[in-house]
Amino acid sequence: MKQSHKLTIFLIPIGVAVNFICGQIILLLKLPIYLDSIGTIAVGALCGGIPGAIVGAISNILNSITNPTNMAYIILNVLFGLLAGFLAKRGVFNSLWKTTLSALAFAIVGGGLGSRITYWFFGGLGAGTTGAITGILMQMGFSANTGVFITEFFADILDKIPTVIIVFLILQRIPAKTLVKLPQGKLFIKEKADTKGI
Amino acid sequence: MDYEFAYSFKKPQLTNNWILDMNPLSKLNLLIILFIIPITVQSWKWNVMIIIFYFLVALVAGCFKRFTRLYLRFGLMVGLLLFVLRALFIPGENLLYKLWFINITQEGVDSGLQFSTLVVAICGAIILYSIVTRAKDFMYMIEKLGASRVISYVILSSFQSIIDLGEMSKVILDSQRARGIETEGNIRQRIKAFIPILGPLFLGAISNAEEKAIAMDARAFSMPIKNTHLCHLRSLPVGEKAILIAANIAFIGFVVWRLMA
Repeated sequence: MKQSHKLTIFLIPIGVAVNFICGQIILLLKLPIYLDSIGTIAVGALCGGIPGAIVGAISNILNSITNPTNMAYIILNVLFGLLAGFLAKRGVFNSLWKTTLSALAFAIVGGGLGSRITYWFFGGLGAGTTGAITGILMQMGFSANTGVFITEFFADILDKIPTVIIVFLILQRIPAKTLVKLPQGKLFIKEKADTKGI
Repeated sequence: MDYEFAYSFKKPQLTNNWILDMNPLSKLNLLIILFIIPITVQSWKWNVMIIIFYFLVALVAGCFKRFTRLYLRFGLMVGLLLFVLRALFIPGENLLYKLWFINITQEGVDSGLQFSTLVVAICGAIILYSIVTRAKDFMYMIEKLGASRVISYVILSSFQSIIDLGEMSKVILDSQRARGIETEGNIRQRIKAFIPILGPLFLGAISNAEEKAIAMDARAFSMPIKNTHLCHLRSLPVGEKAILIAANIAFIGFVVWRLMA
């Protein structure tokens, strides 16, 4: 086993923990967003899509202990991880504006596919504040199908923009000595830092 | 040296509670049955009966308080919300009450009652399982079935990391406050406070992971040999086996009977 892959095994639990702790920090700071996929996206970007997907899946399963309805959305977290690994390979997380745009891709998965899941499992009226907004849209004449898509897509994009920006800022701050040990870490090492040392 | 304590690890560690000492896979089997019954029956009365049954199991297992706290919170937050949303927004013929643009109908109330008890009953099985089963026992069984020890490590370590990083985040929050970062005030200030907390947390955790990787390597974690276990599970007692077989036969009979009816 290569050293880089060894470190991945130890980073997966950290990704899971970061997903949870972000939720706790959000509660402490009383912010109105979730930011519950920072760990998934960060590990996906640093270690590759598969470790990211594992982080997403484990986070979702542990989350389901207190709220088992989350189990229905496990595929979303898996896809976030895979997508993060894929986008990182394309160099998306190296510039701020590209990163911000990538929130759209995450929101299409989270809001688009997520709203499908809410529709299939809960008939559109999921448990949460978005469910209430969907309900109001349905009363205003939208079908359950469109109502749930509109609310979940917009709720998700509001959540994913800060998420990816925070991930970007963290990735920029990881020291090169750590990055070289990670499977996709080389993507984030800046050329300038190397030449400066010489 | 306390030999009694040392030798206690040679035997399976029992709690002397029949439900807690059951094999994790037997428990899983029984709870899967309870998980599927509400889906096949589709009647809120059955769902309520199953929900009451969960509380009885938790009482017998001696974790009534822990289960009730978790389950009631879930029931109130998710179950009640699912009911209210359906009662308010599902369209129907028989109008019960009209409030501004919201029509509460008999159909909405019926579907809300049916759906929310179904979700709460199904999810109860998962919550109960997580309460009566220790994660390490479950992972031990999974390993016995042939899963890699890396999987056990990753899952059990995730639990521990959540606790560790939680502590660390409090320390970082306090230090950043002492340094003068505003964690109160308007929403912009609070958002700005997020990065100085999460940044050091994540970077610190990564450098800890490096040290942990070296420490685990020194303990032959990545060697291609069979590993040993400190804790063992007892072999399946005859009574437990009999109950399991009886429950599965009864369940299959029940499902066939429902499908025929």
